[in-house]
Amino acid sequence: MGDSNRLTLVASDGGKFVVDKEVVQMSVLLKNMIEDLGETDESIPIPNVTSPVLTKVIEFCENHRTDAARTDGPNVDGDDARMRTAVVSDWDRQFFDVDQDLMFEIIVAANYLDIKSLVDVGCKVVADMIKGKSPQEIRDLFDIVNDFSPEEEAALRKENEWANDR
Amino acid sequence: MSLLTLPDELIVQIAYHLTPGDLLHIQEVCSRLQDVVKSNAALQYAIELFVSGMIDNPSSRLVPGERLRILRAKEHAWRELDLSDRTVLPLSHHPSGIYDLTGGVLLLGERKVTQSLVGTDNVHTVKLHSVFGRGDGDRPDPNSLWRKIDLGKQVIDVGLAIQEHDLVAIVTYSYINEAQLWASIDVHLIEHSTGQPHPAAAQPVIHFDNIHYLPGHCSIMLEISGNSLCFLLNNYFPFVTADPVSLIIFDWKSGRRMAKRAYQDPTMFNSFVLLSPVMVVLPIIPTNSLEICHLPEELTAPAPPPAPPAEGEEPQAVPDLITSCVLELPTLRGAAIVLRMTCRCEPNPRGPPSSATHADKQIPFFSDPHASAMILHMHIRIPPNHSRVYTMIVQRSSLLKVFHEAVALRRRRKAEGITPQPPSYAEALPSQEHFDKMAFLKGPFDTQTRFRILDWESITPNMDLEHVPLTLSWSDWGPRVTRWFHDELASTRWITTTCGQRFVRFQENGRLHVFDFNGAATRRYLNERKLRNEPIGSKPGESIVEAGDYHWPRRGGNLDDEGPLEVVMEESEEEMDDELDLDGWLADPDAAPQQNAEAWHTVGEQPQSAESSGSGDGSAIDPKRRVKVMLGTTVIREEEVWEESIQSSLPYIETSVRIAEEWESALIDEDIIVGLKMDSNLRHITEVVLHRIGGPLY
Repeated sequence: MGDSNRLTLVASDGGKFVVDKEVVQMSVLLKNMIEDLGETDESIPIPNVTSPVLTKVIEFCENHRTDAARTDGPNVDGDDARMRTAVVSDWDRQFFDVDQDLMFEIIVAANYLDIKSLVDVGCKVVADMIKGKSPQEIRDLFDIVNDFSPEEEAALRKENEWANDR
Repeated sequence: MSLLTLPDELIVQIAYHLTPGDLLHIQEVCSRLQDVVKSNAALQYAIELFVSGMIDNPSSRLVPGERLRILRAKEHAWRELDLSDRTVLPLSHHPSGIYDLTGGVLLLGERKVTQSLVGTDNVHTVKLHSVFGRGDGDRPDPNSLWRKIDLGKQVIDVGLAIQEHDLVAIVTYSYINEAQLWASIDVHLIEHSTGQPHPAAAQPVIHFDNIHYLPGHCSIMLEISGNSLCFLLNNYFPFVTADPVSLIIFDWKSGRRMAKRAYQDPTMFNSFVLLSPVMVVLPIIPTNSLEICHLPEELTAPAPPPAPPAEGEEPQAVPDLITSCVLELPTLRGAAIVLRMTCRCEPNPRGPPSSATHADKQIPFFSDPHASAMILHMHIRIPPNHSRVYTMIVQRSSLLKVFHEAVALRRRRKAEGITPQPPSYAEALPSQEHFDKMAFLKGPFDTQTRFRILDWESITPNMDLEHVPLTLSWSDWGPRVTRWFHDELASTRWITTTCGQRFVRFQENGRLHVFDFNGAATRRYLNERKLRNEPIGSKPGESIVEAGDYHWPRRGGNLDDEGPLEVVMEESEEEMDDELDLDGWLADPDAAPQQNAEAWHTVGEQPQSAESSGSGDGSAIDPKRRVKVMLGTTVIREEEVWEESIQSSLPYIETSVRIAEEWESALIDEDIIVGLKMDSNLRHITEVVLHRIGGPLY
């Protein structure tokens, strides 16, 4: 007997998650899928998302189900740059207090599932990590290899010289 | 999974939350991030806005790439001072002395009795961009350009907030008892687009007061920011009953009086600049200082508009504005006195983003009020019978920054249990280097609203400012963030000579000068020219004054006599000296001020640029165009006026071109320079010439 208010999500590794429909619908992708399927007892496969990531995504949606109305707010001119809210809440910050690999997995999964609020919070968390850091500090933080040639790097530095030193 | 494995769209979304300084940094991290940032028009536009000291207009219908293109075209045209896009504004009425110019709108009062010298019967407004038409010979109908607002009362001042509120505030007087010159002073809140009472105003007319009013014996200043309407009236009428100077900040939507500052002495102050809807700078004449004042704290939070007072209800006592910080100006010699200080800063800051915006959808961006330059003219009298005008430029953001640092120190002191009267606040202030860098990197850049939250949010919390105001001596705050000009020509009856970080001035010798005080843009331009192997100074008519100290006046003409601060200019070629003389720096020490003024004439005529144009490199640079970049510190040392030498180092670029016609004055607004022609008595405007810089906005 399926509970019409609950749905089962299946992660790429086979992990099963029974979740309130209301929570699932924070994902625009799944919301549309449910509408297409109509009433069904079938579980929904999420082939691109692993269990650990899906656990986190569901945790976020469970926590933010009450402010779901906000994500449906007026989409001003469709410019998502203007949809941003200014601050990341303490809960959201704690939520993203995970290793970088998982953090980026969550953001990519949220993007795939089209959960705007989660993508937005994730991007803000990453941006906060970047803010105020030098190029080298950013490389160190995200383990990025500097692939510029010394000439290119010198040219770049010259180009941005006006902003960096006084 | 790592940052670089994210798809471009997510990297872009992350980048939306970064400041322009951070964006420049991530471009240097690796080629992938560089490509993502460089190829995204919205991100490049964000960088360009910040460097140009502009803010986006969220109501604009243009895509970011288009806005970016227009912004770059405008900035380029300003650097070239390209005046080719010219038109004449058709006048449909006889202009009176009342005018305003802001947000793309010019307001000119109308005087019906043309022989009269005073009085304004109604006002007319025109959107300046509409005068240019759509190009290709398409000319707008002169009769449809102007919009007339006639209240049937005599107008004595106006204030415009068209881009923020679609609001025109018109101050009128009407005699209650004409024999006694007893008049009611009222502020009418009009919706610009309809000419009707403004729908957001609970009371369409705010009654200021009943006063003894005689035309010509009263000065009024009115500025609007957010819900605040700041109204200053100086009454020089001989037998005034109330306070001759009173500044009142109204909540124009409710009509409530939020705060006031009043003095018995009509010469205490006669102008102000709004730093935010709840903060105002008052240049106080007797103390020769700038007071940074704010509304009482309970009023600083953005609250829902309170209900208007019921009919006949006793008005509540209006709280006083609180002075939280006093910025001293350089100390005057005992005998020298300040006669008048006038200040202005365009455009006005806006209220919180929740307040409705009425911005013109055709305008992609505006000058950033936060970065805008405040201009302060000091009229000083030196006994027995000399007078001088000094001009100081400082950015709004610098004043706010100094203020915030001082407040932060006070908080720390209080937390440490130290009584809030520290010996010096200088230690709280960041070094020059830190100041410049942080001012850029922290660029209050909010992608959500493009609204500068810094002003609002950082002043809303409790500030514990009930104590004595913080006082900063001139040397603690001023030299690094201001630029001073010793200038006999600076002040005219036309006050709209600045917009954003630009200041415009028309010289009697027929040259139009534009000063740009945008440090970031200046540094970038210098760098670009250097990278192109044509540094400033390598082209005709250009010069650069490098870092160092430059004295005015030059003493005895002998550089060796100078103190340790003197820098001997190694490149003191003809050109350089001429350029410097242009401003009177290093001028003949024996020259009287009048002769300094004359230097403008002679230098303007010098043939140097013409001769070099003959040997030009084929570039299309106007040989009459001259550019001076000022990076040095100017030192004004005039012992008969100042106790101390005035050092100032805000960098600027000055560009000038010759104007082929007889202007009386030049005004500026966003991307338009307005040239005024007057009749021979200088009483009436005969022609208004418009130069649009950088082409159409759409």
